[in-house]
Amino acid sequence: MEQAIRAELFDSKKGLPTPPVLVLLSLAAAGVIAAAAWMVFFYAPIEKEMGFVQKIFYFHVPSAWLMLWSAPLMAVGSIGYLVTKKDKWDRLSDAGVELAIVFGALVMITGPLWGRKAWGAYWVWDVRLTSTLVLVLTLVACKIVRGYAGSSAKQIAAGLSILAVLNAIFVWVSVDLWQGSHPPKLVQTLSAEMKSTFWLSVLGFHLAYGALLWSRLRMGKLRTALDRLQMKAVEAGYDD
Amino acid sequence: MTEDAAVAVPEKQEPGIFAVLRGALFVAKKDLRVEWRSKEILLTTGYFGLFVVLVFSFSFVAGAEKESVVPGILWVAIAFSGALGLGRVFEREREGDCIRALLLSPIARTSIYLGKVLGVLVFMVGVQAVVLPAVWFFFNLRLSMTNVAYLLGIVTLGTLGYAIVGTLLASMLIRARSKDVLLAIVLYPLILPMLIIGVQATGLLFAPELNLTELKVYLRVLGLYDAVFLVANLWIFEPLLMD
Repeated sequence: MEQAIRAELFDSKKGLPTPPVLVLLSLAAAGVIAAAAWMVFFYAPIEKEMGFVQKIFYFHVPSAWLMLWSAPLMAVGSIGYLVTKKDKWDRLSDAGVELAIVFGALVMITGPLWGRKAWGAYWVWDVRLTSTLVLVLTLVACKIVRGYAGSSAKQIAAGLSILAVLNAIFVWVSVDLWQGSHPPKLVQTLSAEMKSTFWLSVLGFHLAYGALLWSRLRMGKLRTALDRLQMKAVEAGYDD
Repeated sequence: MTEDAAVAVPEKQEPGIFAVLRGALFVAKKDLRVEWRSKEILLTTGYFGLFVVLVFSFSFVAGAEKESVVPGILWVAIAFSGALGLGRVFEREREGDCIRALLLSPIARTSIYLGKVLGVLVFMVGVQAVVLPAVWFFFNLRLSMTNVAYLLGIVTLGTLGYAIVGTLLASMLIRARSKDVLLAIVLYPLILPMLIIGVQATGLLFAPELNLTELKVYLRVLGLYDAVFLVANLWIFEPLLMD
């Protein structure tokens, strides 16, 4: 029995040992982000209007982009799950939701710090702020439901994350009609040093995102495998 | 033998749109008849809606400009009392232990969803028949007939969106354990666009001069919200209730 369990965990090609590419990717992400952080503080010039606070921009914008990447990811995962009922789509959806929450949280932490200096207030009811807030809130609700809904949790989570994406679009439209003060796209107006720093930071964040996504998918897969094995073990008479 | 069995099972046919709508009417009729006989949901949530309006009136009555307060109170009352009613959408089936029977009945799944949406819509209109006059009465509103018509339009479109989204969420959570709390935490973020637009559009009606262009944009976005979520939910509902 133990051998069968071992065989199942180790034999599949992407079994227990961490894939070397994943390790490399994680290391690269850490390295690039460290380099970008160094550039942010020691290479990029201080912006003349906003001063030191502007440096938040180098972390805020990549986080926001990655939060947005997560939306199609979880939408695809959720639709895939509702259509096929295969667990791998559910894992993709769950990973997308979690990453959107993580990077959404980064956005929500860095944004107000910048806003305090720029607008004189931590929070304003702007399009992007409100839709980000609502998206993150809906996704957290989605995670909560997944945890407590019981047997149909996966379907519910899939349905909810599709609705969350649609909803974020509507929040965007509705608040856009209502008011707006978020700075427009700034990337083109940056100086050369700022640009290189910014793009390096973007690269680092994307590498980290890839590593996180991969790890999360892998974790989900291993968890499913473990659950299945536990069932088998119980059936075979092993109590613990 | 196996071949015969395969023949005996009728092939699954996609029901036509009229069949779906007829099924929806059956479900709605059933729910409304039960409700009409007991008046349980309507009385309790209507009464609750009245209290929401009252509580807000007490909190804001001193000195606040009613133009800025009234739209918020109206929509919060709708949202709160609606949530209370949504919690009961499948409750009768659950208490009578016949959700499975409903799902097994020879109508399309989408009919069940649409029927429930219709039922919720009718029930919420009933609640608003209490809430709207209460707001009008306690805040001493003066609205021209045209503005009343616009208000009814806004409220109807908003309520329809609320019913569309809320019914799906309620049916998702049929089997969930802590269903009531879960419904509340998923419902409010998802109806937020409707609330924002509803509040803004209602606010326009209290301005000295009616900004018709802006109002029309709001109405269109509300209509779009309803349409998009209806289509999405019809698609999501089907695989959602599979056992």
